[in-house]
Amino acid sequence: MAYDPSIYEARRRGLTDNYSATAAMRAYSQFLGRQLGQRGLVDLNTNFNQQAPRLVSSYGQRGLVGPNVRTGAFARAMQQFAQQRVRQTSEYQTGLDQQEYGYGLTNRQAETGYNASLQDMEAEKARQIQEDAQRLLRHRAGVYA
Amino acid sequence: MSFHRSIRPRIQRRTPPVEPIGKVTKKTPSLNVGMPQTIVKDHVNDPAMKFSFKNEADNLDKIATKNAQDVIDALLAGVSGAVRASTGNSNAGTGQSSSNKLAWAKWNDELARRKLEDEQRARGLTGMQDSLANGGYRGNADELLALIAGMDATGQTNINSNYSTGMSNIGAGFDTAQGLTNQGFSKANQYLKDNPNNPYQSFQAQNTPVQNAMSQLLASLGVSNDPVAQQVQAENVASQQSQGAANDLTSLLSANAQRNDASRLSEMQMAQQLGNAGMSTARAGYESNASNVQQRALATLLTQIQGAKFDVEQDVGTRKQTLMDAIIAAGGIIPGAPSTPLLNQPPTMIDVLKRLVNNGANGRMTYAE
Repeated sequence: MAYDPSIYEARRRGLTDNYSATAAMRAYSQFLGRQLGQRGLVDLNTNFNQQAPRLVSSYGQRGLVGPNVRTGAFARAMQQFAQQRVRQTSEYQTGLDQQEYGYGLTNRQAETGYNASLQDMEAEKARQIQEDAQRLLRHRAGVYA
Repeated sequence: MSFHRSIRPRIQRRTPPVEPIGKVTKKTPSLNVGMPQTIVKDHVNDPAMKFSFKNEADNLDKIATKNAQDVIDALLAGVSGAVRASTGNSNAGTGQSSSNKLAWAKWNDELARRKLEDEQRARGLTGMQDSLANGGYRGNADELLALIAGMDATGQTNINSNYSTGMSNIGAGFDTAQGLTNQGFSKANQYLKDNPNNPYQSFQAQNTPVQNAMSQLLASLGVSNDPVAQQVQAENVASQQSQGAANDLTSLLSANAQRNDASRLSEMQMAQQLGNAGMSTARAGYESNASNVQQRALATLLTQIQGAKFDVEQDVGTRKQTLMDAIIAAGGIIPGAPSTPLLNQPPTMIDVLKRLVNNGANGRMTYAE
């Protein structure tokens, strides 16, 4: 096959189009995932914010907390509640970070593949030019080839 | 040359007795003018005839003397009759005088005809000798050789021209091919350098630290935040470890991408070198082929030219040999070759007489011996 730049340009357009389309799909998927994660985080904090007053009230109804009343049971319960919120929030946030990292990694892997395809095509062009050049030399040699 | 002029001086010059050699002791018959004796002795003293006389002197003397006696008697009888008729001697018969005149006329005609033939033969022989001496027998051989030499020069010029054209085309083709190859690989290398394939280079995993959202509430309730703060610290440490692991993976992928880029650059350089080496090898092969074709063509041309020259020279040699054979057959000598005197001189009357004498001796000796 002789060197034909139009063929390589067509291949380049195909690669770019495919990469752009998949990248857009990944970006939209990432957006949805990020949005969903943020909603979950908000729900988690809302849930903890709503449970905290009820927890204090329950200890107050039993007389374990109140004006001039501070019991160790109430303090441990509140500390455990706060620790659980921290742990769950951290786990959720780490999950969101890892999800974001996964999207980023997928995008970069796709970019790597796209770049590699373009590099392969450039290398192929150079090799094709070299083969055509050697064929040209053989033709120029004529009967001496 | 008349008979009288050729015979008389010799008769007078050879009149004094000549000592015979060998065993020639027989007394010769007496003649009016003593010719038989002088002729025989002339043969004996002739350097060209000594060899024969030494070996056959006795027989020759016996046979040749008698035959010569008869022949010369007849000739001189006619001469004497003619002399007597011219001087008015009545003793000479009329019939004998007419016969002698007729014989004399025939003899003169014979001598004239022979002289003419000799002259013609001499001219032909001279022509052949001249042709042999000045190379005339070569005919148009030199022109043919010049044409062959011209063909040789033209052929060599064409062959060398084809070789030069072929070498020029190979060199130009190599330069063009090498330029295209280097240009193609240069573009590829430049693209690789301008577009390194390492998307992981700036990619970092995110780490969102958590905080104690209930610190104010706990403080307002008089509850210590210390255990919660410890939990926050532990969770952030754990998330940082997760981030570190992800970044380690990213670093690994980035390093791998860098190695891939370096490998691809090396691959391009090796491909370029391989391509140039292949073209150089092809060029050397093509040039070698061109040289071989040139040598074969020159060798073929040389063979053809030498063959053509050989044919011409062979034809010249054949013609020369034919001419030499013709000269020899005509009694001539080859220019430059040792000659035999008798072959170059027209026969004298004495030689004719010698031949007659020898013919009378049954051909056992000719004047040429």
